Amino acid sequence: MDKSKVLELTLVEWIANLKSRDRSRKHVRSNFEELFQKWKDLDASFDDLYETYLPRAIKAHQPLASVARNTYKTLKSKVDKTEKEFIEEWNDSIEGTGQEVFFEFFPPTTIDKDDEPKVYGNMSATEYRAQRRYADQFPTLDTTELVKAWREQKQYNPEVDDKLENILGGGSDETNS
Amino acid sequence: MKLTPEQIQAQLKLAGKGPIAEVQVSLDDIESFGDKASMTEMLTDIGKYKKMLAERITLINDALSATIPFTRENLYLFCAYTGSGKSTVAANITYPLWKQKKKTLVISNEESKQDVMFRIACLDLGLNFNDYKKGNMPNEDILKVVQLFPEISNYVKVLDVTYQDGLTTKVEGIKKALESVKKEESYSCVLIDYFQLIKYSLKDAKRTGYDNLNDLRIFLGQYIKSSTMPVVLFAQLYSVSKKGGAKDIDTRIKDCTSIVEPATVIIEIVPNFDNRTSEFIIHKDRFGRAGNKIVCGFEKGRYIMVSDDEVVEREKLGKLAAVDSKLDKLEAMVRNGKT
Repeated sequence: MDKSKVLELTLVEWIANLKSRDRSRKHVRSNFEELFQKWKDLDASFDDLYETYLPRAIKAHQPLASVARNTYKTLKSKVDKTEKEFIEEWNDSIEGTGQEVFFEFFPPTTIDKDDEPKVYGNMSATEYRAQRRYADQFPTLDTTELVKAWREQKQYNPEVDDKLENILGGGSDETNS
Repeated sequence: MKLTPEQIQAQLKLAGKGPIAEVQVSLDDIESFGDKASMTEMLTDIGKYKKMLAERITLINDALSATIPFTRENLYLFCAYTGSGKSTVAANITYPLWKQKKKTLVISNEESKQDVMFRIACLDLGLNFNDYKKGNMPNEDILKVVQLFPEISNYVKVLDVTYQDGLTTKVEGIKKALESVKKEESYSCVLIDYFQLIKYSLKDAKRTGYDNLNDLRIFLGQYIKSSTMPVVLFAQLYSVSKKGGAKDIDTRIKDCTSIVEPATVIIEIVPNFDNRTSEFIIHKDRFGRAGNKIVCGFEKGRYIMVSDDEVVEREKLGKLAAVDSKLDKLEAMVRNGKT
């Protein structure tokens, strides 16, 4: 069987299975991941898929017009959007996720390909600077008091512990650190 | 021979595809909330949770141990970009446990068993593992390292990629190994290095890498609920620069992002070469510290506790070292007659 036929069948099978799957927002990514991994295992390339199969996969994951309209009717009182806006946003969000996951699996140029010389461990100067900027977004936790408690093995107030023991019964407070 | 409808139903049931029993939720069930039985159940669960916390063990150093309870019934996902410290963290988790005579299983699909042991021994002796890898470690030091192997192997058990022809890259192999240590109950911790390499199946060669990773994810979610030890899983991340610095870890985990679901704690390792520290960013934490990071010094392969003042001092020294390095380069250029 030629490659395009196998890719086509994989898509058809995925679309068929999609009907019985959880297609809620939380599962959109993993649904696409499953299809793209199958394509990847078939050695498909970006060029094989991007223009022909990806739009069909995205379309298949988007809600039917009737389903979208009914969902809007149900949620109308809770969302401050017109029906058109609501449905467009829904479709766009699925398309966005599909595209994003697709580029992870089939980058036009390899996503981790970094031709710059490795200056910091396994990282180029560009990658390193990006990592630093990223890490700087997070506040540093002051662990002084936590460490003090950990060292004194008094993470839990003994008096409260005793009372709890009476209520809950059993359970050792010994740490094995 | 045709099967009867009953036989077909029985077969479907065996395959887990039988009809779903009708769900019943009676008002009595709802109203019974707060009665003696439900109170006992809740108090028992609180007792179990408290006991689980009390059984926490050392996680790398005091700062991390104090912040993130390292204990049974939890899956700790340590993520990093390639070359950012996954195997170093694995050795740093194993090392204090070995010193405390606690048994650890290391499933290593990347490093060989001798390298895993070598790293741990280097931490004990204050030697640089990379010197060994680059062929710069003196024979006397190598001898000291290997002499520690018997002692370490009493408590650290390693299954590497050579075990039973790559069984640790198969989802069934990992499941069996985890079930074995669970039965034995003397193990304090299991480490799996790393997730994306477990993409094969023994039973079904046609299953995709995603199917196998997803299968493992589901298994781990069930496994940790009754696990007698913490399970540490390492995972590889996509480059942050290619992801526009997105704060969300979900989009950066390679191949099967849904591993974030069963993980009870997710920590990203980001090295800082400017001040010789590493940052442990807590992305998910059932114990309530998500959104923060812990900064640890990095000395001779070990992640050590450092105060804020020490971090500032390290930054100054780092800048001085960078200036020195630039001056050295300039001097060399002048010596060579280049401008």
